[in-house]
Amino acid sequence: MSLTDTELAAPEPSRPVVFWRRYRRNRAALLGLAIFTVVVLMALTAGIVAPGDPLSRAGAPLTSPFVDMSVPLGTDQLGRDILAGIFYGARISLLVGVVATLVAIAIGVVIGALSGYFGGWVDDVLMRVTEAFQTIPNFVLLLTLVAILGSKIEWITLAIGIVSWTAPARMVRAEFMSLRNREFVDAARNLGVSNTALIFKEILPNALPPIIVYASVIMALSILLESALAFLGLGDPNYASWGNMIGQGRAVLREDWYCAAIPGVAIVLTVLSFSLVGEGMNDALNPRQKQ
Amino acid sequence: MRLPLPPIVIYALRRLLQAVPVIILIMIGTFLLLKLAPGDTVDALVGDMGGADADFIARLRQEYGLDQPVYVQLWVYMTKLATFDFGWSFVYEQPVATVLWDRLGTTLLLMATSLSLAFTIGIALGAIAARRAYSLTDNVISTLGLVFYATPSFFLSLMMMLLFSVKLGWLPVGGIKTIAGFYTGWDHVVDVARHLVMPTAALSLIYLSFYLRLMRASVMEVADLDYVRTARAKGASESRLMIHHIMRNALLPVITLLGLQFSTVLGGSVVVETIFTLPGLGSLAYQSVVQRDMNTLMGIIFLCSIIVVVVNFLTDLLYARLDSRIELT
Amino acid sequence: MSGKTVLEIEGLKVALPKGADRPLALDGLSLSVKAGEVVCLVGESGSGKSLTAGAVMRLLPEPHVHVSGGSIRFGDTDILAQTETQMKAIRGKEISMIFQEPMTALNPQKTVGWQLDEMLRLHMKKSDRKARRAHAIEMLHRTHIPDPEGAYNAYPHQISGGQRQRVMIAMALALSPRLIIADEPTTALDVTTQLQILKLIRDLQEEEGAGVLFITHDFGVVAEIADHVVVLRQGEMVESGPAKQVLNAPQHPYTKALIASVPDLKPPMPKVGKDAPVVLTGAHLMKTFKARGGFLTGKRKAVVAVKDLSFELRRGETLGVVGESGSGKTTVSRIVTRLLEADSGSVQVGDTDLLSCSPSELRSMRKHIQMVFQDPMASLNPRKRVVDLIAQGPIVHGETREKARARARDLLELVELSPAAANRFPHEFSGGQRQRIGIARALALEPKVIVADEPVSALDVSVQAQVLKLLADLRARMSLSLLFVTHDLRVAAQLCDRIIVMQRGEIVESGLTSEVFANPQHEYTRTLMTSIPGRDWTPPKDVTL
Repeated sequence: MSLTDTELAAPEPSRPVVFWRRYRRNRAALLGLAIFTVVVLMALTAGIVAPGDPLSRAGAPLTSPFVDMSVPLGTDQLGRDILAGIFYGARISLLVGVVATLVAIAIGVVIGALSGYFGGWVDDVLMRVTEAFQTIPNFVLLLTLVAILGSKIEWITLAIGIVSWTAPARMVRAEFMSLRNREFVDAARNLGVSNTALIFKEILPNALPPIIVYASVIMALSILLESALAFLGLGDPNYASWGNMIGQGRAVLREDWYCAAIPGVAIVLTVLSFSLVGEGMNDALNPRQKQ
Repeated sequence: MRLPLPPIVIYALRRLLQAVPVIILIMIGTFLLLKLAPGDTVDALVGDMGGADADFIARLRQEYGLDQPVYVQLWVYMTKLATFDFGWSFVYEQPVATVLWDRLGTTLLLMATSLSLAFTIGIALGAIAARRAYSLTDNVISTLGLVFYATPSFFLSLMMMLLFSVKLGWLPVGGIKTIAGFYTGWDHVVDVARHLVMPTAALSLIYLSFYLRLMRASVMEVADLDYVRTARAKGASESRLMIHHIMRNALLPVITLLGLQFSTVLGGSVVVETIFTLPGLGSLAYQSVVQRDMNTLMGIIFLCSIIVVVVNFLTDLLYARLDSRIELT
Repeated sequence: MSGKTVLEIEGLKVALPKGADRPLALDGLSLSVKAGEVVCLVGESGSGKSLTAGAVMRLLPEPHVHVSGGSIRFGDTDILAQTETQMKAIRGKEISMIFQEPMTALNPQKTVGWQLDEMLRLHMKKSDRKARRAHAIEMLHRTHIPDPEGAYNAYPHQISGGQRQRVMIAMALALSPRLIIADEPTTALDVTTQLQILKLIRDLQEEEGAGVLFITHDFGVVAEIADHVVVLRQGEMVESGPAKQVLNAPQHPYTKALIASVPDLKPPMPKVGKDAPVVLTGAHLMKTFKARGGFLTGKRKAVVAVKDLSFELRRGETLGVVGESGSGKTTVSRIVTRLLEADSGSVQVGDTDLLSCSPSELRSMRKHIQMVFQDPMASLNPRKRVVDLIAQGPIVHGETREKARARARDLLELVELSPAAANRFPHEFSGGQRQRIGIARALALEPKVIVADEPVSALDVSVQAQVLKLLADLRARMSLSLLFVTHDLRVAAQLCDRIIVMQRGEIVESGLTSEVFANPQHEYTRTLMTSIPGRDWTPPKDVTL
């Protein structure tokens, strides 16, 4: 009848392994991952599948899909290959999504961390700034920034990052406020660890998982914002973009609606895959006992 | 400090006072930002006129105060703003305030209908999905939610136009009313409503899916709490648990989201109003950017900020009303 | 006392979902509760005791956790054969429950009165509102709530934890049920409140003649209230018998070991003489928490947490800081380690006043005063390996990585953990093991003083005994000076040479532990002493761990 508490349990598998096992259980999340992989592959192979400029004429204008096998998804009113547009558009969408998300998360983490860790007047000032950014309708701010900075893809990406940082900042702040009073932070402080090390080595690694999950949401929103800009004709005219294709397709919606529908479906699937992957990661990080 | 005012008024006052620095911050920020833009109002005017000599340009600059240092211009602008003077729109040849006022009603109508639909349907579906978690009903609702969440509003708008206007011919393709209709009374209301069906649907479906997803998660979380177990141990039925114990608590995070997200919804109206050629603030914002009408753009930002602040204030009051733990002090 | 049998459980088996640590949460539990009797179901965490309540109420989270065998008879009713509708009529009216957490067991959005009324409305279809209200207030009155009318109209957050538990009791007894299931009803309460609530349950139960199934982990509480005791271990019933017999002459080795783990109330003689050097002095410490009020507010008052507190700690000595929640004892531990800034006063460690150090001086001073925290789950960074957790302090203070790690492995051995633990993450350990890691981390810097803030209060009693033993051993071997904060007088009696008793931020009494326990001077200390559950019972110590 041993009651001793010092015997160790069997070692557990490493974190990534556990994460993947839990993630794998969610079939929708696996589907999301599959779609996401396809989009990435499209972006990578755009140059091989459709060499040359996707914005140049590839066939007779308004060829319907599945008619001419040199342009399997048909052409738009200027004779541009829709398939090529979809592949190159995946590139732009992913590029904008990833970079804008990194910008938004970087700003959000710095502001949220300072605000949540120090509290007091630092928090007051930074939160007023955050509120200001949250109060201006983000798409209006985006339009304004694009009007000022111009329509180059770099500026658009940066502008999307700038209008998207408030939500991660609030999340990081909330995480920091709850974590900074945790005993393990006190324990590290009590060992003589400096503030900088406390923020970056003790608290941040523990605050990151929910932020990483949320990154999938920002990525989805960034892609939606970029496509909306392009739809309105404010995107970078030098690159093929799904939003722009839909905008162009609007002119021929009556008869040749596939010009708008195909890139539209591409956006829906891509954004959907981000949502599914995000939900899957969230479930894997915070497993519920039910099912 | 004790003031002889009811707590709700003090609470309201405090909330509104807190919003003032935020608004000021926004206006200073946008003013300075727009100063960074290449070309000012005079450049735009001169461009319109097809060129002018340097003297005339200098005189114009002086007239508009654009030769002053930036901080002086800022001060002048802010003091004018305090009296709701937004300046002159060179595109519309009208005071900006007049232009904004003409457009405000349409946007508010669109917002009110879309949000109330999105909110009520969203929480209802979310609650149903949560109570039948992992069933077929839940899967259908959740999947639809995910798909609408992923659909850009402009694409949804186009597809609805294609189906309901082009193919079926049920609904008008754009505008707020039939131009040559000259409807009055009830006919006018019906006409406007018919014009608003698709824009409202396009805007609300996306946010509906937001509220649906949050409500579903929230209900499932609250249903696991101790006091729900207590009520169950009292012998309360499932519907009683839902109505009296779960709903009110589960609504709280959704209301927070409603407030936080309102500015995003307002931003979404830019695209929807532009597509459906509705004469609202959103389409005005787009046109101002395209036509470089900076005074109008500033005015829109100011007005939108005010609307957001007011809506946030209302959701705060609603939250405080629903959560008895908050005492309005 | 023995009336009719109210509840008869036979061979009850409850199955857990696949992938749980064991297939059956309960494996063959049998017990019976008679009218007018209190049966205590005792067990440590994970013993399955709370699932018993769920099974009787038919409120298990089915289908994941479900009854897979045995029978539950309530009077003449076969509980397991009832439909959900029939169960609804039984729950609340015939069998009612009192839960552990009074904070969360009441709906925050409804008034106390509404929630009491709900109970009555659900089961008394025809009664009118006035009668129900009168009955509810009468019930509140019987639970000795001050101002029953006021409590009726209050929201749960407006009344104290003890009052909330009284409301739960009023609710549970409102319809004179034949069986009351109380699931750890006093665990979340302070010791003085706990005694009052135990008395209340006992009194009302005697008036009503109901049977009580009382679930607890605390043998002190068992000694206070039980007629009959059933001991559970990992879902298996190991012992069952009349309270006197189980408490004083336990048969099963597990019960014996559990009971031997309960610290008794006889403090040891102090071993440290008055000539040992003082290592830590707190003088005139003050701390007030100001509620952060904005413009136009000003309703919330500042709370005085610590008021003019002074103490001395000598080398090799253990000084206990004892008090209930809100006494300021935790604030003391945070001020002394300067995790919280005091308003005024001084803390001398050796010759240095910790409170007037600059930030960089403070960081280097920290190696002299280390801390062991309350929550073994929360006090270890979940993303760090154990070896890095322990080596972190020395590395910060200039030790090389290799040496610090090697030393960390030695320390693991010192706290009786296998060196294999070094490369694991905190979540792979049990609560007691994590607390050992926390102790190793505090020792790594070879501090002059260790401040321990409720280091064993989150642990099961058998684990608690082992961690306390480790602390006592280390203290003797390394002549550690300990400032030991606790709410548990039994623990204080076992470990502390001297104690300080705190109430509302002030010291009400201090002195040698043995003297304070034998002859408390202050009124409040006496109340505390008489509130210790099972104070008249001396746990038999015929087994060694």
